[in-house]
Amino acid sequence: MAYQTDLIEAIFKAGSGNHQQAGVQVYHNNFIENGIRALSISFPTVAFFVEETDFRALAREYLLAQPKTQFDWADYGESFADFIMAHPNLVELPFLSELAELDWLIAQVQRSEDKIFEGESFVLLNEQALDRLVFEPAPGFIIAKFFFPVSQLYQLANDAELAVEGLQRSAFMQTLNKSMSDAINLDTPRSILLWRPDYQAQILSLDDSETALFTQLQNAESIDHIFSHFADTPEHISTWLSEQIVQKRIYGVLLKN
Amino acid sequence: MHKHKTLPKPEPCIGLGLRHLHYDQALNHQVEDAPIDFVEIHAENFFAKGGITRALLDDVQNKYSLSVHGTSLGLGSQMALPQDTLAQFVELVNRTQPMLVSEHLCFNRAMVGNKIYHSGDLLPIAYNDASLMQIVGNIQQLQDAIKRPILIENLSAYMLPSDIDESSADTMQEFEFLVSMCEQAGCGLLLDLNNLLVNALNQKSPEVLDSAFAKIKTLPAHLVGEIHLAGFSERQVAGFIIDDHGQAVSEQCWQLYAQVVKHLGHVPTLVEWDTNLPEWQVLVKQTQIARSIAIGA
Repeated sequence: MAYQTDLIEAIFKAGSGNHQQAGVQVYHNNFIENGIRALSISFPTVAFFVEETDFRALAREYLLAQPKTQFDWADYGESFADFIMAHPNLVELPFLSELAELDWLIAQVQRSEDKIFEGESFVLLNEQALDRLVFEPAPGFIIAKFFFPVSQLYQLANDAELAVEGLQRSAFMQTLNKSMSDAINLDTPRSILLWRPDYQAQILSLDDSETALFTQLQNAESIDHIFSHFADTPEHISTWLSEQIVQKRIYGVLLKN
Repeated sequence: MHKHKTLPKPEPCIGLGLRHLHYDQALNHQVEDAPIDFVEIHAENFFAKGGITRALLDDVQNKYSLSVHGTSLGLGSQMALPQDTLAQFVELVNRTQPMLVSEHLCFNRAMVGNKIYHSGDLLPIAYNDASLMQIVGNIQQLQDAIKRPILIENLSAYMLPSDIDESSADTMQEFEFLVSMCEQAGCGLLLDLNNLLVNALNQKSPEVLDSAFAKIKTLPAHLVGEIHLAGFSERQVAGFIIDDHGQAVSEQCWQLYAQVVKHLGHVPTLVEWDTNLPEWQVLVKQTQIARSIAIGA
């Protein structure tokens, strides 16, 4: 059954092999069209910021350069951000690679395993030594670093109200433009937190202090350690914790393994 | 003496392919006004470990009977079934306990160099003993894993394996292969009427309807567990009519369906429309046409 390998190879390398049958061309076209559709679903923010014809051309190049080895189209595209970064025609859109990285992360967060909010587990905070406890973060909880203001760019692509010309959009664009200019001069990237409270991934921009704190939470460090951030202001612990519970960034408290 | 009652004529069972665009309408649909007996989902769209698709599926299941239609296992592939994808499929079937489970008569992947390339498409297999042994083994593995028989859908194809490799010539007819496969694997058939018609049109059969129906008449009726109805675009690619599921069910397909229902009796029937999706009500109307044909048969 060598034809299976030959046909797959011909589909991925249409035009370069010995098999020039029209049927192979149909399957090659199907692969490209299915792939473009899949990438536009996985990378909606990238698709928003480029013309449709440019996105199709970019996706097509990627599909030819990066053969699909995954069963599910939803798992294809992990290296799309790197591909964009290295693309010679996209140097004038340096933020596009980071947007692809954000889109990919959001897709993973959206599909991450469900968790049940364990409200009663917070009673452990009063019953156990804090160095024996850890927080259970929300589904998809992850910190990522970007030079460009990707959360604002994401908002611009997804907030219907910002699509309408007016004062709100004008003010937003002013702030965004300044953030974009600042990005060029940044020495270190900015952090954002991604998590999924229910069904929709959320993004929160973090300052340095918040980044340190949420990184400890992500790394399952003890609650004792996390609360040490409030050594000078212990009265703020309750407010902070309430905020994390209300925003569903923390799903419960666990005894450390 | 007991009086013998006449058994009531079975009701038609007509379903609709449920795609992302129509989730809300499907959940708000008044089935009392326009019955939909089941909906078909593509298995891979619900492989995520969590998130909104799982919750949506729970809601859909509360309202409709379900058919799980796999599109990525490639049971005719020469390569072994991937255990992680198989596990996702099994988990979905176990969780949803659908009324029907189906996959395709196709392969989709092969080792190129040191990597497995995956076409994401339904590629034709040769109708010979080697292919038969391969697909029967894979179907049995899947059926053992989900502990129930599956249905295998006949394919629309744009080439023959022997076009690529002369040693992979067919040694039997498509329907001969399908019957042998069902008998050996203990599975059933998902008879896609549109695929039959597209193949007949692409092969320039002089009598498209007659040729398709003649093939169907060779099938033992008990093997056919489901029928798919769909349309195709008249726009040709590389000289072929493409089975794009992007149109209303074709007039030829309705005609063939009327003949098939009369011949086979009531078989669960699904209206497929996967691309270029219309309004929900247009799809509902298609199921009503299917139902009226089935009732009138």
